[in-house]
Amino acid sequence: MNTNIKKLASILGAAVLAAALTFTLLGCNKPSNPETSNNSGLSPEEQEIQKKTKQAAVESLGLKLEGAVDAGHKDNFSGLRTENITFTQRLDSRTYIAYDKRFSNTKQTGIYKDADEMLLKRSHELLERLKIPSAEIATERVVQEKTQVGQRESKTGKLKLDPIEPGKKWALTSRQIGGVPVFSSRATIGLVPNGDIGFLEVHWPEIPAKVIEEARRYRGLVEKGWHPPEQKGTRVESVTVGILHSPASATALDITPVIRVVYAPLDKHIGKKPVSYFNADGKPVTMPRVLLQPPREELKTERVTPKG
Amino acid sequence: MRRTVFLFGVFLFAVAVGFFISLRAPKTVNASAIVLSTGAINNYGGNGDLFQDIAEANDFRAWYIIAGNSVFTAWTDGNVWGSDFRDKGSPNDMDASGGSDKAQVYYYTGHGSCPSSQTTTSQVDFFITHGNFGKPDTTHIPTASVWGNSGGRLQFMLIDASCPTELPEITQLFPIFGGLHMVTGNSGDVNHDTQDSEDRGNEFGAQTAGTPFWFLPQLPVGDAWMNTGLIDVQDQVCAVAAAAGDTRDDAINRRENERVTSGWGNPSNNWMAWKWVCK
Repeated sequence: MNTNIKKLASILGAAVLAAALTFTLLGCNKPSNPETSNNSGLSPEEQEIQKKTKQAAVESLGLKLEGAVDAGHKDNFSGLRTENITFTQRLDSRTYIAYDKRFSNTKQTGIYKDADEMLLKRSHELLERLKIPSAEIATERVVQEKTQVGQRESKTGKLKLDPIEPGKKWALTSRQIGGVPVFSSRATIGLVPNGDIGFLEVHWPEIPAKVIEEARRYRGLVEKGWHPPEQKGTRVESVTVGILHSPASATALDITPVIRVVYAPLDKHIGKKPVSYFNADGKPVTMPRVLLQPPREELKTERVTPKG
Repeated sequence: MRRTVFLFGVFLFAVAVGFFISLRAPKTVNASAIVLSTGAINNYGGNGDLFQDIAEANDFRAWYIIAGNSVFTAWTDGNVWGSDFRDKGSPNDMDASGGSDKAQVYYYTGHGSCPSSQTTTSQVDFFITHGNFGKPDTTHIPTASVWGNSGGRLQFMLIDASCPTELPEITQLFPIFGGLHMVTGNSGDVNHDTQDSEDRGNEFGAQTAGTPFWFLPQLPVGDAWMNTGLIDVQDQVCAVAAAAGDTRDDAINRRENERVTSGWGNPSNNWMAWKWVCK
């Protein structure tokens, strides 16, 4: 009897152990090794994509991937994620997005306080590491957030305001090629106090030579007196030739030369200036796409007005 | 020996079950999914028409749908009514066909009003719609709008229209927080204004919604607006983000860390923390 119970207990223990191992193996789809991602089952090409993504994150940007690393790719994005850091790059463009969530929690992390010049220097260095041509940098500037807190007495409505305090700094970089602005390209970089990347978005796709050539032709036409179409209720504020392309967060990459016309409403109290993009014939251009397959929506077009 | 083996078995079983549940539960329950609405206006009756706003709202909404959220309404042009943003009157912001207080996130893109200078003390925080109903088309936010009150659901009012969150008028925004968590917008003036832009809304949508399978990070609303609210704006325009809170620390925490899917409770409007960044 005693022997039978021992056998039963042993079998039960072994079964439970086997179940635990099975659950562990099936249930866990995150790599437990901090140094590696779960890339078993990937083709050599896919493994190469993940390897390059990790190289961009670690070697080019110096991101410190601590703990478990979840990596993968879908469509034109390849990325990785740790507890604090998310990094993604586009496979069809020089586009990189990195975010360390500690950057947002300024109470615990603090804010980057070094001089603007230091931030710009670091921004330059990062762009260089991402192989962004320095000759294409049009403008660079540092902007700094300001923060304030106020309390309103609920009974009296009286306001108490704290002093304005400095917040995060952001380095903003715009792009031109041979004097032609690339409206949709930009780099935005914010750092945590030790100089590591807090947020980075660099969207700097390669522009085909024929697009640049066409933009220059447009510029010649504008210089010779190209007239923008009029828009009722507005006046033309500015006419600028440049290049437009799909944004950073996109699965499409369309690139087109444009003549950008900014209109100012005649009613000066109306805010937000209409902007339209034309080709040399004065026809609106087809705007660069964002998503190759936008989600399907069944949108209503007529709103029923209440009766009575 | 028998007892030891048995206890060891029970221990392993408990560990295995606990581990299995901890891994599986977050993937099968999408508790953080939210409901959003957009209101986008291009057509102002041929008087200062905009060109990019409907596409901008489409892009913004797409990221939320991709991230697993759902849309309440997505009205455009004349179907966006001034009354959608007013707390009183009939219809109002609780109108079942498109009131702004019926969703958790409302993204408005269209005209607003701008002062002649950013030091103005006159009323400037207006939405300007071109509705086929729900007149008037102008709504002064600080005095006419309250969100999150009386059964309202709105947590994030995201405004892409200059300049309805004008900095000189920022302290007048306390009353709009009837449960509302955050408001974002721009501050500027007639000579320093935001421009019609599809990119601005697209990037803001992508950053606030996040898209895990493309590894696009989800930022807190405040940080997302600080780095996207200056896309396609003229110099000296500011991006503004303001959060209400029960306490000073609560307001600051929301301003810096709250995401659209954080699921935090509604704050009172005793405290407000705001931040801005100017180009």
